[in-house]
Amino acid sequence: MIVSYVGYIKKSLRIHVEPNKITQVDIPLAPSSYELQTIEKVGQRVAESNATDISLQRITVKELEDLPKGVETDVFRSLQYLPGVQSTGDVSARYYVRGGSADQNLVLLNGVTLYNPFHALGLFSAIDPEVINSIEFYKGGYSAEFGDRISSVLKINTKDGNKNNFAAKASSSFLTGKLLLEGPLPAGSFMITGRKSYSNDILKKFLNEQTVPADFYDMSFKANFSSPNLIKGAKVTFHGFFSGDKVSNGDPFKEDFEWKNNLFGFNWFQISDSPLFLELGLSFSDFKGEVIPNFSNVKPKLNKVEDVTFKTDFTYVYDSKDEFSVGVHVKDIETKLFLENSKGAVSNVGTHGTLLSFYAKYKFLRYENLGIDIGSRINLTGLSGAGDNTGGFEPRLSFTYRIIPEIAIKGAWGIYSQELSTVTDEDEVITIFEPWLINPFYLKPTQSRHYILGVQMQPYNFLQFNVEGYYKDIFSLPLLNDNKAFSTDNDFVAGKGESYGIEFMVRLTADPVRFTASYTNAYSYKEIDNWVYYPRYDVRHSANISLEYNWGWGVSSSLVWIYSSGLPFTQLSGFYDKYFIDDIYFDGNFYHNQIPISILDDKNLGRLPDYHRLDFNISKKFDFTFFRGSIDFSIINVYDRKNLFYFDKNTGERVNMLPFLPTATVKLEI
Amino acid sequence: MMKIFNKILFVLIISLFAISCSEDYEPFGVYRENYIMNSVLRSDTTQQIVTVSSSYNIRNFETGKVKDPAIEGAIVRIWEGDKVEFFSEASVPSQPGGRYSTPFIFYTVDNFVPKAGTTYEIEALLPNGRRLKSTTTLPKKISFYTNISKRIPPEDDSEIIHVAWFAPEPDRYVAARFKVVYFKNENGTEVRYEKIVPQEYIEFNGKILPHYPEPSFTNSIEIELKTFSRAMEEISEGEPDKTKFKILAFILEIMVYDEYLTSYYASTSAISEDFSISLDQAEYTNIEGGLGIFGSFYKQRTAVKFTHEYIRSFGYEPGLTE
Repeated sequence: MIVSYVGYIKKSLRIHVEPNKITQVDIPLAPSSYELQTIEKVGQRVAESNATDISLQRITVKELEDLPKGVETDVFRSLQYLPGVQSTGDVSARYYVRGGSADQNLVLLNGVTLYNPFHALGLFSAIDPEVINSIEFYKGGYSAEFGDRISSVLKINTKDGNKNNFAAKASSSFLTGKLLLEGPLPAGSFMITGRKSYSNDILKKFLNEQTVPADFYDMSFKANFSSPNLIKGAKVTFHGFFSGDKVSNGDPFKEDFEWKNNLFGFNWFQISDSPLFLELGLSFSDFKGEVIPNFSNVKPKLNKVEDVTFKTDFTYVYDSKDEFSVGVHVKDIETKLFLENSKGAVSNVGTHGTLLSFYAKYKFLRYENLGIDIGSRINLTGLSGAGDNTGGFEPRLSFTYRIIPEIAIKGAWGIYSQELSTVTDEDEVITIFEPWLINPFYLKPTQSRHYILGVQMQPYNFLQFNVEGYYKDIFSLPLLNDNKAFSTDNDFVAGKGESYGIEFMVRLTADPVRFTASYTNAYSYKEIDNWVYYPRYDVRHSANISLEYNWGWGVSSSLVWIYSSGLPFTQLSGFYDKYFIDDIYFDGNFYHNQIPISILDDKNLGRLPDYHRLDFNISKKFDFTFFRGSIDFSIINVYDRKNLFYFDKNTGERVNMLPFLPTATVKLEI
Repeated sequence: MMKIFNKILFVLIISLFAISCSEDYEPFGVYRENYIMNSVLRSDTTQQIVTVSSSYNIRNFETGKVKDPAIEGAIVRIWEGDKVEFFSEASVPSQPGGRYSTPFIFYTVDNFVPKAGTTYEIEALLPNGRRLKSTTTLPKKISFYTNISKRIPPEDDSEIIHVAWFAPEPDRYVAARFKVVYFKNENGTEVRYEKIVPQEYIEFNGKILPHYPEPSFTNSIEIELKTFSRAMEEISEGEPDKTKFKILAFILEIMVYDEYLTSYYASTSAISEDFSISLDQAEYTNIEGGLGIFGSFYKQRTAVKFTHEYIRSFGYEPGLTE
C-alpha cells in the first residue's frame, strides 16, 4: 500500500489481509515541507459514486482558508457563499437555510450539539478554524441519524492532533490572538487550542462605528487513544469545547451581557473482526446567556440549557456494499429561562424533557449506478411533554441514480421534527438575547417535510454542474405572540412556514484555478393567524461567483462576488404624534410628551436595495529553518458598495453594512 | 492587445464606481389616515383632558415641519353609567421649545373626579364623522398591611423601611415613591417643598447618582435607611443653617395604573437591550377606530411615622408630632 497526502511524505508498506475480516492499520504520515504545484492524474475519474449525498456540501479547511476573511477565517460566514444559504447582513454570522430560521440549524461539534456557536453578538463563529478537520453541511434531506432540527445540519469534526511530533501554532488578527498545541500521547495524540480577543476596534466597522465592549475566549481540546494493547479495534476520544463572551458597558445605568458554552464529550468507536461498527457517545453541552440589567430599565434575563446525550450507533456492512444502521439516542434537556414575571418576581419558564429516539436505515449500494438510503427515526418520548410526539414517526428517503457516468439524478424526502427553539424577535435586525426553550406544552412539536430533487452533471473531470430544487413546509412553528397583552396570554402561537426554490451551481477545478458560480431563486413565507408574510431572510435571487488562483511559491489568492436581491422590510404608511409617558407620576401636563412616530404598513412588503460585494484575499506561506508561517491579507467590499443594513423608521437615517475593510492575519507554526 | 486590456480595465473601473454608490429605496408605502385619541383619567384632580389628532402624510422624514395635527370641532363625551359629561374645546399657548408654535388644542372637563373601581366610556365624534371610542375602569383601592412596621427609622433596627399593601387587581402597574414634605424658611416666610426619595444611590465615576424605580407589579416598597438619610441631607445641601428646615411628613404615594395604561406604558417604555436593533416598535392601543390610549390611574397616599430624634439628627426641626 502506498499512502500519500498533500503536505505529507509518501509512505509505502505491506499489508496482510485476511478473508472476511476487517483489517485496521493506523498509518502515521510525517509532514512534508514541500508545496506541491501540480498533482499527477492517474486513470479516468468517474464523475461520482452512488453516494446518496444530495444537498450535502463538504467544505475543506483549505477552501475555508482561501476565502476572503471579514476579520478571521469563519466557518459560518463561509456557509453564506453556498447556494440556498442566506444571511441578513454583514453584521451577523447567523445563517438561514432554504427558508428556515436560524434556530432550525443543528451545529454538531464532534457529534455534540453546540447551542451558541457565535462570538461577539453573533458577529463571528466561536469555532476556531484551526481545530477543524472536516466539515459536512446538509442543507436538507438528511438521513435518519440526525434529529431535532428541521432545516440543516452542520457537522464539524476537530483534528486529532499530530501523532508524530509536538507542534505549536500561533496566530494573530486585528481581533484575537490564538495558540494551538498538538503532539503524540502514549497510544494516541492530543490537540489543545485557545483563542482570546484583545481588541474591539475592528468591531466598530460592523456596528455603524458603535463601540462594542465585547470580550471573548474559546478553548477546545481533543485526546484520542487507539492501541491493540488496550482494546483491539477501538478508538477512544475525549473532547471539550468552552467559550465565553462578555459585553460590559462599564456603566451601572447600562446592562451587561454574558454567554457561556461548556461542551464535553466521550466517544468510543469500535470495529470488530466482522464488518460491524459500533460507536458509543456520551456528551454534556451547557449553554448560559444572561442579561444583567445593573441599574438600567432593561429586564433581567437568564437562559440555561443543560443537555446530556447518550448515543449508540451500529452499522453493518454487507458483502454487497449495502449497509444497515441502527441507533438509539437519548437526549435529556433542561431549559431554564428566568424572567421577571407578572408580579415582578423572578420566575423560571423553562422545562425539562427527555427525548428517546430510535432510528434504523438501510443503504442500498450494491449497484454502481444506484444508491438508496431509506430509514426512519422514531421518537418514543418527546421533550415538550405536549403528548403529541410520542411515537413520532419520521420516515426519510434519499437516492442517487446515475443515468450515465456523467449524469446523476438525486432526490430526498423526509419528515423532520424539532422541539427546541429560540425566542427570537423577528423585528430585530440584531438580537442580542435569543434564549433556547423547549416548545411549550400547548404547541405540538414543530414538523417539516422536505422534498428535494436534483441533477448532477460532470461532463469533464474538471467541470461539474449541479441543479437542485426543493420544497419545504413547516407546521406548528412557534412564533412570538405579538398580541400578548396580559400575563395570562400565551407567549407563543403556532405558525406555519413554506419555502421553495431552485439552486444552480457550476464548479471548475483546473489547477491552479478553481472557479465556482451559483445562483438561487427562492421563495419563503410564514403564516400566523391566517396572515401570510415574507420572513426577513426571504431573498428572491442570490448569486455567488468565486475565483481562486494558486500562483505557486506559496502564494494563493481569491476573489469572491456576492449578490442578493433586496431583503424584505416593513414600509411606513405615515406618521403620528405618539404620547409617551415620560413622567410615571403624572406630575406635569401629559399632553406635552408627544413625539412623532412612524406608522407601519403591512409587514415586510417593501424590499431593500440589492446587496452585492466583492471580496479579495491573498495569502503567502513561507518556510524557515525552524518554523513556518503565513501572512494573509483580505479586502472586504473592494468597491465600497453602500449596502443598506436598515434605516431608522423615525428619522430616515440610513445605516449601511460593512464598508471597504482591509484586514490581515499572521500565523506562525513551530 | 494592451489597448484592449486597458479598455476592459477602464470599463471595469467605471462599472465598479457606478455600482459602489448607494441605491435609492422606497421607505413609504400607501398612506392611510389614522386618528389618535389620548386621555388618562386621574383620581387626584378635578380636571380631565383629552387630545384628538390625525396622522400626517409626509413622504420624507421632516416631521419637524408639519403643522399641528390636532383636530378641532370634535364632540367628546364621557359616560359613567347613564351619566354623561361633555368635554369642551380649549387651547393653551405653545410652550417655548415645544413641538408646534401654534396654540395647543385639547378638550377638557372640570369638576370630574373619577372613582376607584368605576368604568368610564369615552367617545370622540370627529368633524368628518369618524368615531373613536374606548373604555377604562379605574383601579380599585389598595389596602396597606398593618402588621409591617412603617416608621422612620424602623423600630426593629433592620435599617430597611418596608411598606407592603394588598392590591385587589394584581396585574396592574404600581408606581410608588416616598416624599419628604418640609418647610424652608426663606426670608421669614415658610415655603413648602417636597423631596422625592430615590430607590437608592449609586456611585459611578466618582459621583453619587440617584436611581428611581420604574412602575412594576410590585406590592411593596423597600428603601434602605441610608438612602433616606442621604435624601434628608440633600434637602439642606449648601445651606449651613439647618434650623431653617422644618420636616412636616414622610409620605408614601402609590399610583395604580389600570390595565390599559399598564399595557400602554409597558409597550412605550419597552427598552431593547443595548446593541439590539429593533425595526418595528411595539404598538399598543385600546382606541376603537384609531390609535392612542384611554387609561386611568388611582393615587393613594399614606403617612409614614417618624421620630423627632431622627429629624433632629440632621439639624432640622420636626414640624409635626411623632
